[in-house]
Amino acid sequence: MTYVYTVIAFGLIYTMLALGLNLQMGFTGIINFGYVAFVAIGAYTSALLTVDLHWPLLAGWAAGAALAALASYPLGLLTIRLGGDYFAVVTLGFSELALLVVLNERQLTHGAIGITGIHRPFAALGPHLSAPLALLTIAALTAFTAYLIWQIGHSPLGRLLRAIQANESAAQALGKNTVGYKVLVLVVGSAIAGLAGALYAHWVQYISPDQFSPDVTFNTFIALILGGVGSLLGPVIGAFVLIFFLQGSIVLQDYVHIFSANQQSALRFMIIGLALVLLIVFRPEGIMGRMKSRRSRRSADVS
Amino acid sequence: MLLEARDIEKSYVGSRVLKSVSVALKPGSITALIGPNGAGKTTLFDIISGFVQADSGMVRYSGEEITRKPAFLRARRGIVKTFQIPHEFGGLSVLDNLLVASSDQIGERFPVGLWSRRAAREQERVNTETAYGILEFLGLLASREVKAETLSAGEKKLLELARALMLAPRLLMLDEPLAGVPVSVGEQILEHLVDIGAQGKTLLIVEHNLEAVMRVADWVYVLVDGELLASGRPSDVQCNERVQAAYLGKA
Ligand SMILES: Nc1ncnc2c1ncn2[C@@H]1O[C@H](COP(=O)(O)OP(=O)(O)O)[C@@H](O)[C@H]1O
Ligand SMILES: [Mg+2]
Repeated sequence: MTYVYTVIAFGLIYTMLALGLNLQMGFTGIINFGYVAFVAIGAYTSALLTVDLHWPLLAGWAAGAALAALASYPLGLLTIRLGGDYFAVVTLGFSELALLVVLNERQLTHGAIGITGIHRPFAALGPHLSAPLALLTIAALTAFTAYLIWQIGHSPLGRLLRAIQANESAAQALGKNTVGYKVLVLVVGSAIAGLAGALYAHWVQYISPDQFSPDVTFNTFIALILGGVGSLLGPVIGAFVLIFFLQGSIVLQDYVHIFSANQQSALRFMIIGLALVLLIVFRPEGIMGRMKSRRSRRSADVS
Repeated sequence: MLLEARDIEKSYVGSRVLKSVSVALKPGSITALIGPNGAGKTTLFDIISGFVQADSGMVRYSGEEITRKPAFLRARRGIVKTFQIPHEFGGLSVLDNLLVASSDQIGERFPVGLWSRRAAREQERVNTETAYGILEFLGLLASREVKAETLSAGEKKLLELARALMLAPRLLMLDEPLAGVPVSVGEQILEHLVDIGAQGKTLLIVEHNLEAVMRVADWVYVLVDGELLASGRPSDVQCNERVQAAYLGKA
């Protein structure tokens, strides 16, 4: 049962991550290769504040999201004008830098040892109750995030973001502060990543720097591409497909002994890579993409 | 003068694209900017609208110096330009292309727009009506739900114009608005431009269809190789020998 809970919790947390990335990449066209940095900031902020300073859990989560947002703001102001490719490279550098800071500022972050004893929500109720209740809390926050993103997607703001992605100069010629909107999207997406990071820390109850490698960014991109970049439901589907696959193949490892553990994990990435290539070739709009465009066509007929 | 650009200089690696160019636009006038390909017309447009920074010189609008003002702020002040190469929002419907253009949208604010939904909807309704009017006039109403990327080149030029009109600009700058547009529609657009001018708006038009431009313009600047060769009333400019030699002869 615990294992099922964890799979669902990871699925939800990756859903949240994919939702934030979708706002940045899917809606606005911002490629953020340093996404994991904001996840780490959220996780560490909440963990340190609740463990070392005994903050209440909700305050820790809020601070995690807020600090991730705050960190992304100057980064965005300084670099978003650089243009897509440069920005992607700078963010990748930023996430490596964040990881180095976590590793070396041992006084603050506990270094490579990591932080133990992070509380789960409802921990006082005992492990049997706290796991499902914590899961429900994560589900509720993920649902709220999905609702927020859905609202943005269906508002004039979402329309403007898609316009900025389609042609930034044209949006500027119409009086839109495109740089401001891109920074806004970066900040909101980072807050979502920070919250997801905090939720993750309090679910697994132990964090260390190696949990925040670029793999997290990579996996989030995969989830988003699987589900359909820019589609509204895509991130949910993509995240769960990814987590079921990743976790499923780990379980399988215990029963199938043809490959060594190393070979297995290599094989896992080969399968993901192959699936991505096939998907991009045969269904570039993602698993959910087709449905979305069918719906928008229908609504076009109605009006 | 509504707009004044003085002593504008611009060079790209090795070549001087604009050589101390000065233009001035009277409020409510229609000014044409003509000249052969590569003369620097689009570059001058970009400098006035804020998309390109001049190497030197200054731009003054409505009594205020705007030489270093970012493009989007100039647009908000009423300087709206269209692009020579259509810059449509390809994945958006034609109607959405126009709706995006509307200024001061409550629904674009974050996070306020997410809960002031009634006000946003009401504003959207008004903007949609405006958009329908413009689309109807330009003959794009039937295509309002199709994605902008599927339009023909001529229709995209019209969309470009339609979007600019959504902002009700004080100074409307059109970069070859008739290129690729069917002649009959072009005629209508010209008439409409005269109407817009009559309403006190100021227009600056780059156009290759000389005969058309000469008909609607109050004032003409002739730009050749980055230099102002002549300026004046259309009739005077047409008679100017240097212009005939340098431009009309070639065209
Ligand atoms: N970004 C740029 N970099 C280098 N050269 C440019 C650039 N933009 C324009 N030019 C050059 O400047 C000259 C003027 O171009 P342009 O303003 O587009 O002329 P026009 O609109 O009159 O046809 C051309 O020779 C063009 O090649
Ligand atoms: Mg040009």
